[in-house]
Amino acid sequence: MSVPSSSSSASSTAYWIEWHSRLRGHEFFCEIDEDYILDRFNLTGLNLDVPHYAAAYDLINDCLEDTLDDATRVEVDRSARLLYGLIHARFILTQRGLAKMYEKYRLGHFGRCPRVLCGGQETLPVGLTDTPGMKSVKLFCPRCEDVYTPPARRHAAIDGAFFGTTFPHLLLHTMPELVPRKAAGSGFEGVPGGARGTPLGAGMGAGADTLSRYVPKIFGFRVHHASREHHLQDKVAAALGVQR
Amino acid sequence: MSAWDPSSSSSSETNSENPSWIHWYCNLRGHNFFLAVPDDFIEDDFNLTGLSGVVKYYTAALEMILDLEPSEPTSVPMPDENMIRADAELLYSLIHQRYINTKQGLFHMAHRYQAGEFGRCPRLGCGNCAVLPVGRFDQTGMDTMKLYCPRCIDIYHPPDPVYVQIDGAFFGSSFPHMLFKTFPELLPSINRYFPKPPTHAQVPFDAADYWVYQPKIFGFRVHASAPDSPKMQWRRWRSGTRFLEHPSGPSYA
Repeated sequence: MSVPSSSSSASSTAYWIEWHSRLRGHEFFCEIDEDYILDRFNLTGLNLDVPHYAAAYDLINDCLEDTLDDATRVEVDRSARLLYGLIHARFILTQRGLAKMYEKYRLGHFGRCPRVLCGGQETLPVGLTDTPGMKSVKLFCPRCEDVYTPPARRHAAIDGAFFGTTFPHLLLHTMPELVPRKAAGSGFEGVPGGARGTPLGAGMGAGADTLSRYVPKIFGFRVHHASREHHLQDKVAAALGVQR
Repeated sequence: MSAWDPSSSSSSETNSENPSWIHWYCNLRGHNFFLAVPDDFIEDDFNLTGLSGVVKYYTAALEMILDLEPSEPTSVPMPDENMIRADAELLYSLIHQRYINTKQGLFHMAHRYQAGEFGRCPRLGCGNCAVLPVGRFDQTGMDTMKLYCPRCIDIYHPPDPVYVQIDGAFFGSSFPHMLFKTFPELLPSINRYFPKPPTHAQVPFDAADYWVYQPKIFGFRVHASAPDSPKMQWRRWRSGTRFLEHPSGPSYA
């Protein structure tokens, strides 16, 4: 991650973690419990991935002596963000971390699914790889089970590995009641919530039927190539044994 | 009449001090997806058949759009200026919807689509496919403008909040499909695959071809009997989709 360093503002704040969570675009992060960071067992192996590991660890815990020269200080600052992100990826898979992230999910901190027929379903952050520095954070929609680019550009600078590939699926696995209703028997495609639609400016209607699928039509007539693809999708669904 | 181009600040045919209503309207914030409908299209009464029944102050609204002097008030009392303005917008949305479905309108919109002016699909597995504006209904006041991705055959909310007040009737429900019927060569292929996993030096950030997401917990897929197992992957299936992995994933074959 190449985030412009701002070591001067770091030293002006009392708590590094508090300062870090207030940074622009960091609203997806939850605050890691202090005792989780202090338990060295939880950090096993991270010293191999993070340069200046000891100094970065001290910076996160606000006990770094200010004797470093500026160049090293910038590197340590960067390492501390990387270390915090990697600890975050581990922490949100614990029971305590899942509970904290669930609370953020419930409050809608991660945004909504851009897909119209998902009806404003809340999303969860996900990484496409667990290796840091590869891909930015993405959003996973539990309703359509797909990943999307976050709409805000500031999130393009957040590393996806700080959330990991597992997190949203483990959350849904431990709390199956969060899985949105998918096997509804509605045969009518394309228009969830009846033909009324949502009034202008009302945004997204809640409770859209997941099984509804957008059907392209020209002056009311179905388009051939799309119908062919939908027919194939129906066959795949039948082959996978999906209850529709 | 050339397509309205947002990059050129003032087009040659209108002087910048006194632009026409149509150019003023298309230059408003959030209106940059609109085409400037040529005057001769609007002046042809045949193109406006039936619209006089939808718009209340039809004549006054049409005069406002065409920058004509208001005609002599007849027996009908002259309505409020704001009501005429609202009706002019309403009338323009319906004229715009008809115009972009004509050969000329489709041609201009196809050019803008090729330039990617309408944005990209937010779905990661679509590999930054360009999208087209679409309405869910042809009537005004029903729903806002959405974006149609031809790759996943799905519609999305525009990411930028300036578009949340744009009526879907400006584009109508048929427009993107009409465009791809007219210009089938613009339909994106989904059948291109990387011969081997791409390295990050080869492909730009997030550029990948069509793939379907496979959720995994510590590298393992969830069993189909579990309540949280994936059940919607079939809906992203397109002819030629062979593998439920993103290309940079470790188990991509």
